[in-house]
Amino acid sequence: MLLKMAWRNLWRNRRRTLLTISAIGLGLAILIAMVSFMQGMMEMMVEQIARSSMGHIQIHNPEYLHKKSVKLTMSGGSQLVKVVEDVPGVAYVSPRLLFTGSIRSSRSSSIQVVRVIAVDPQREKRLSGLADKVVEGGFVTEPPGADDPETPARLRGRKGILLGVKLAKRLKVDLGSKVRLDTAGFRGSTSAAAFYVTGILKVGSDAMDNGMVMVSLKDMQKVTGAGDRLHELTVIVNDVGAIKEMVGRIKAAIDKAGGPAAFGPVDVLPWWKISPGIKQMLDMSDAWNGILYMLMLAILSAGVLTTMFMVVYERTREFGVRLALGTRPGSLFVGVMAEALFMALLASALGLLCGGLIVAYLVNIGIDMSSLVGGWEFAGIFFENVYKGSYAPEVFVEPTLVVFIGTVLLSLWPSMRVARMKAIDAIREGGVTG
Amino acid sequence: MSDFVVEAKGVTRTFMTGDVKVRALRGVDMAVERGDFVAVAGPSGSGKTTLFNLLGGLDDPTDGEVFVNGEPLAGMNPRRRSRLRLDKIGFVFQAYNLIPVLTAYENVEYPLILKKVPAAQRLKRVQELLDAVGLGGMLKRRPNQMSGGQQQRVAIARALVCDPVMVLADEPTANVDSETGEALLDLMRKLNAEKNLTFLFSTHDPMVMAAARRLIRLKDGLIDTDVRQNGEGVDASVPAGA
Repeated sequence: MLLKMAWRNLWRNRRRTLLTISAIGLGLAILIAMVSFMQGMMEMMVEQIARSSMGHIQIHNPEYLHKKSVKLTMSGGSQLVKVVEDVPGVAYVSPRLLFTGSIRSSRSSSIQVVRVIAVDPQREKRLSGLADKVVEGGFVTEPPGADDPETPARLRGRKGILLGVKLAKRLKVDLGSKVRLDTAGFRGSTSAAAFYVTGILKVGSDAMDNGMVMVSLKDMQKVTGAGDRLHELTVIVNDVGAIKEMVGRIKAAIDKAGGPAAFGPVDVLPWWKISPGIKQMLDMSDAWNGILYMLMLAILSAGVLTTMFMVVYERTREFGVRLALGTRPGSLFVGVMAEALFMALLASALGLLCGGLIVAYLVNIGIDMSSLVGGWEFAGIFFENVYKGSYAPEVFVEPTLVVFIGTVLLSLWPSMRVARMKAIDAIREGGVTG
Repeated sequence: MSDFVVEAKGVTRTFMTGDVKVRALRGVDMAVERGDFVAVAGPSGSGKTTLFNLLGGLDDPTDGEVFVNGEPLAGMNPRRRSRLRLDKIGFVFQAYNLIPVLTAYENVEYPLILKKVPAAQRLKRVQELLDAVGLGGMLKRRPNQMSGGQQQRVAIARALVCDPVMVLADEPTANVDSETGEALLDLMRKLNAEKNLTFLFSTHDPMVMAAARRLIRLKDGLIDTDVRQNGEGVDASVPAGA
């Protein structure tokens, strides 16, 4: 009977109830959409961080990140790759040698300073999205078995180099052009070699399109005399939520495989230790979500408290009469709370429905601003300006719980006021006198 | 068990209206016998509603004592008092005060649900009472689909549904036309006669006053006159507390 009464009472003032439910529901829908958008942006950023040169986890000589000295390497590179690849939960591993070098061509007098990334092409292709950014030719090749169908046949078997579109323009080179690359070496102070342009890429970031070249790891190990040494091992894990745990697992696996004796000193770091600026930016997104929740609670408070207090004032006499008939105050409390519960359920359902539709749009179509403003760069990472929502369960669960529990909790106040009514006062306030 | 269904002994009730002390009742002694049909009359502000609130256990006297069915209300905890109202007292209010979202049937059923009476018994009892008040065909109507007289009949059925020892009716004919008022009065007289059920009315209505077997007139918070009638005129004055 209590539930039946609560349901019918909810529709006594149909317009007010619909307005309140709509306000709360649409507020929830907007909250879900905003959280989905923020979550999607964070997922996109983490994904792009992973697909940039950074990955989820990096392994270096502990001093390398501070000093950036070419000599600060890890030894036993190929075994190290194998050890890390075999750790359960590791998806991809990419070994790298990193240099600062200069590049020039016979067609231009300019010498450009570039960041040289030497990679295992097959592994790097799986890890980073750079292969998708190649606009001419193919990705980095590895002679003599260069089998990239995009690479012109005449270049196969030669040391290939992949460079950015702006750098190519500056050097006045195109596919097949010969360039000379000078870097620090391990045998002497410098090493130099000729490379042939096998691919040109366009990322949209000045740092990458103008200041980076990518070559084969094997080539550079030979050219510089690095042998089996590595500067960096970048790791992508299967579960982004388990990066911390994976750091521990990888450390344990390296120690088990010989540790410093086999590989020299190594440090395994999650991406946020390498680029704390990005981590701070993502944390700020959490704070933004917090502000959204507070705004939602403010909308809720206004809607729920106004409606529920109107209910209390309008029905004061009725509550008095029910108390006079022998109803316990607790029953009145439960009745008003049940009304709030129904309202919360309907508003949540409406919010989930509308929010779901907006999220479906954000996930499937998203907001693409790349054609207007291109991408943006932060802490050395290039981010695309395409924003998509997230379907993650928490996008729906957290806002709905906040709205549902908030509505119910806010209704405690008017409900307790009803429970504390005295029959005589309620009837008198309601206007029965004589 | 007491012969009186309700007793007031030296009852006073004082209210504060701002800084002004209002003495609504100034020492009322009265007792109502089982099966009586009593009207309490008096001008507005004479203390009728205050007296009914005290007799119905909705309010506490500033001084004096009230007994319902021999039980003192003083010191009774709210839960016990709530139960006593449910079990022993039927209320009929001036403005009907039915629960708007419930049908006629559900309004009458409501007190039985509070008493946790099984559904089958509820069905039988409610049907019987609505038939008795002439609304057997209006079970599913909500208050806003009924006339004032019909609503007051439902209120009477609701007041009777738990077999109370008395019905307190606060100006039950005030909001209906005279023909409907007369019909309601006939109904209550019939229930009083058939079931020996005690009725106490507060009223301004001369028709109700004339129909009562006992007429108590209040004036300025005191009983001015308390007389027995036969429906035609005054029989005898009733001594205080009897």
